Order: sequence, then C-alpha cells, then structure tokens
Amino acid sequence: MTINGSTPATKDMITMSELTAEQFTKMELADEADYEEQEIDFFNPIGSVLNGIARPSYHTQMARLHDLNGKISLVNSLLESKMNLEGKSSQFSNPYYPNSNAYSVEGNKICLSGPFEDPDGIRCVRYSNAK
Amino acid sequence: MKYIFLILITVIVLSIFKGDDELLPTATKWLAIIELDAQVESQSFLYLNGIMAGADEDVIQFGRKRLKLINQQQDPDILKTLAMPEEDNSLYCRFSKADCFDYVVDNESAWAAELKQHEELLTRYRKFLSFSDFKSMFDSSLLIDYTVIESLRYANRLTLLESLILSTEHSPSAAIKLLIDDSNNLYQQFPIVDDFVLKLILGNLLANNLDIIAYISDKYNYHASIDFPYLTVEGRSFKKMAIREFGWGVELYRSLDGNPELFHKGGTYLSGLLILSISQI
Repeated sequence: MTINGSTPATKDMITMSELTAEQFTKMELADEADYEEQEIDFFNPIGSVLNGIARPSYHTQMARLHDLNGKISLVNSLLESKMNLEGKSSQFSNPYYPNSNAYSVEGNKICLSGPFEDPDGIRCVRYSNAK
Repeated sequence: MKYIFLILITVIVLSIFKGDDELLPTATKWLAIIELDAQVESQSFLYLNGIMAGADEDVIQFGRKRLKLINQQQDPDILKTLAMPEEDNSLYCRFSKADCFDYVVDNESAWAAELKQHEELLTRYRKFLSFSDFKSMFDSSLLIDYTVIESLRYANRLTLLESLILSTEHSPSAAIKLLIDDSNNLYQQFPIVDDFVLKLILGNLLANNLDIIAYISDKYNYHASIDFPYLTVEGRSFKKMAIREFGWGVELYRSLDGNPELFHKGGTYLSGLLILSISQI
C-alpha cells in the first residue's frame, strides 16, 4: 500500500525533530540530504515510484530551532551579565556541544558553533565587548 | 479456449497486484487526527488570514472571505484593504542582510511615525498571538499565503520599533519587558502551529526580538535575571506539520486512484488505466 510506504519517512521526520541538539549533531547530516529512495516493491511498482520521489528531510529547518535555543542561551547570559569571553569561564552553553566552549567572535558578534551553516546569524548576538 | 486462459491469467495477475495490505496502525491514527482536525474551525487561523482587513472590518470574517477565494484559486489580495508598510521601506529589512540591523537601530527619527501609521496592524498581531487554537485550514504548507506571513513580519518589526522608542524615551527595562512579553506570546505558539513555514517564521521573529533585547542590554548596560525559557521538545517538534503533510500526500494519492488520465500523458488512456490497475494506493 502506497500510503503505508510513506509512513516511515514521516515517522523519521518526527523523531529527528524531537532529538536533543546534541543527538541531532551526531546524526552528521549533509546540508542537502534528502530521504533516500526506497527499494522497488514488485507488487506495488507505482507506489514505489511515488514514495521514491525525493522529499526534503527538513533537518536544516529543524536545526534553526536548535540554533534559536543557542541564541536564547547567549541572550540569557548577556542579560544576567555572565558574558565573559576571557578565559573559559563563559556561562552560556551551546546546545549542540554542551561540554565544550564552542563559540567564535566575529566582528562585534559572539556566535555559537553548530553543525550547519547559519546564514541568518541565528546563533549569534551582538556584544560590544566582543571586539 | 486459449483466449479464456489468457483472460484468466490476466485477471489472476491483476488480482495479485491489486490485492492490498491493511493500513498501518500509525497511518490510521494519523488519518483519524487529520479527519478530526478538519472538522474544527480555527479562530487563530482565520484571524491571521484576515489580519490585513480594513480598519472597520471584522478580521475573522475577512479571513473567511480570503480563505474562500484561495480555495476557489482566486487571488485573495483583491480584498486587501489595510494600508501595509511599503515593501521597499528599509525599516522592515531582514536582519540577515548586511547593514539592516544598523539601519533599523540608527534610524531613530523614523520609528514613531512608522509605529503610528501601522498601529492597527500591531494591535492585530498581538491579538493573533493571544489565540491558542491555531490549525491550518489549508491542506499543505505549500499553500500558505505569503502576504499573511509578510504581515506578521511587518507587525513584529513594529514591536521592535516600539521597544527601541521605549529604550530611548523611558527605560531599557520597559523596552526589554515589552520584548520579553512579545517573545513569550510567540513562544506559546511553537507547540501549536502545524505549518512548516509559519513555525520557521515564528522562529525568525523570536530571533529578531532576542537580537534587540541583546542590543538594548548591551547598549545601556542593563542586566536582569530573566532566564528566557528554551524551546521545549513540543515547541521544536515537527509532528503536527509532518502529520499534516502526510494527510496531504494521502489525498494526493487517493486523487490519482480513479483518474487514469493523470497517467496517460505520452501514452493512451488504456495505458493509464493499466498503470492504475497495478498500483495500490
């Protein structure tokens, strides 16, 4: 049944979106990864073709929500005046790499590292002492 | 005799191909959710869909009218009546674009007039965020109305301008409180929305708020222990959207069944019929 065949991709999408940022990073997906094509079902060739049409995995969109949690962490630290870029005593945490000091200073911004590109600067905040 | 044998073989072969599995329990559950959702009219959706109604119009009724036009594949913008911000007004630029952020925060003289001119849109944006029953009344995210999405983006920018005015004229704490309140309202929508595009737009709006909060905190050296909450699993989950898209796919597959003409492009109607005869929707 074609409808049954499209269920796993939907399930995978839901599961992936509910992973923690750390688990998500470990999946090591490429920027453009789509769901893989399914094998041809001899008894339902048309369904196999329909379900085999490449569909986006939306993982880069999911990453943006983890990125947003990174920004929340940065802003909370900034508001609480815990931002300290000297040494390794920064109080903000990177949801992707919670056990490391994964950030960079880019101009007047602090940016958290992440598994995918961040063209919109979601993982960054402006901070005058960053310079 | 050999013709009867051939027909018999054909019938057996087609029966084997056409014999179908039961719908999986998960698929059954999702389709039940979709069916149940389809019976509910979302006030939040209708309000958002009508957000650009004229000042004296009922926003929800206007949203209904637009929905009807969209469902009839007509251009809904023939109804647009509220004066919206100009598309090329740089105050509404995207923060991801170079110099945009500086342009907005440095262009102090333009803030108040813009806010005054579009205060109705801002009021409606806040009203929209107060609803908690969002459910898309289109089948797929692909059908989302970008005019509406742009209206949300414009309205959020007005909130940022209002906050910037507060920071210069009153206090950074009032300015940040305004944005924290708005962010909380956006935050409440994350677990509710069932549309990919809308969820990502809400993410962008929340990010914009956080950028201005950081800017004000940094500029005025204002600090407070606010501890804005992280997006929860429910807030980040794509479950509602994925189920909705699944339902749309099912509708699409079902629409193919019984419509062999969709397959006979480049072939014959008979070939389309043959294709459908060996497919299990």
